[in-house]
Amino acid sequence: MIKVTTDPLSIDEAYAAVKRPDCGAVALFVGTVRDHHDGKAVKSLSYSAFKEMAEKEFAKIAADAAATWALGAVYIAHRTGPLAIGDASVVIAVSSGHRAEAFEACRYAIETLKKTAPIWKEEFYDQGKAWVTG
Amino acid sequence: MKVSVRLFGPLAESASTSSLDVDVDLPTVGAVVEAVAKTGLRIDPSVKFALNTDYAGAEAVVRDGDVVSLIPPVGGG
Repeated sequence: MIKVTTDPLSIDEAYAAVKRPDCGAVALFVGTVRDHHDGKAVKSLSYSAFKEMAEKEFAKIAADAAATWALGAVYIAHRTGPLAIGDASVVIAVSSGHRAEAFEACRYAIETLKKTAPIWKEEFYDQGKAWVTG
Repeated sequence: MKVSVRLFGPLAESASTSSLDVDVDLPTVGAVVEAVAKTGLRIDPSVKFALNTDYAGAEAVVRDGDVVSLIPPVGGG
């Protein structure tokens, strides 16, 4: 399951989407909104996305991961719109027979998403704002 | 040929719009990007391009009805 949504992300949903009787491992990554960046206090931030293309990139990431490791299922969700400190911005869940594949595929998914998914982050500080990459 | 262009993130902010149309003689992504640059929008070399919903190079051929998007450096995650 993949999605880009303005709704709050659900870790329960991610876990339920990938949990399978033949899988002994589920790796779950949650990216959360941090209250600082480069020494500046972050007051709030907002993500925007090219939704259709981002979901296509997520599907590619999931397919590439499934072609590389023996996986049960892959779940990738990213939130857009205004987010508060501590909110989950991205949730990735991967199930596999054993833990090594789940960890590796989950790491691959978040690292690739950060490089390729057409999603932009705008941070707001006490004074000013910035588009933050990487 | 008239081509629809979508702008995102900092580029949409710079242009004060998230979409525009350009006219090109040559039906390539590169020609579309050049036409966008001629409107005065500064397009950094770090900007990537998409043809509809896939990344594409400047040489990619644009067909009638296609949408070209300018993808500034991303920051998801």
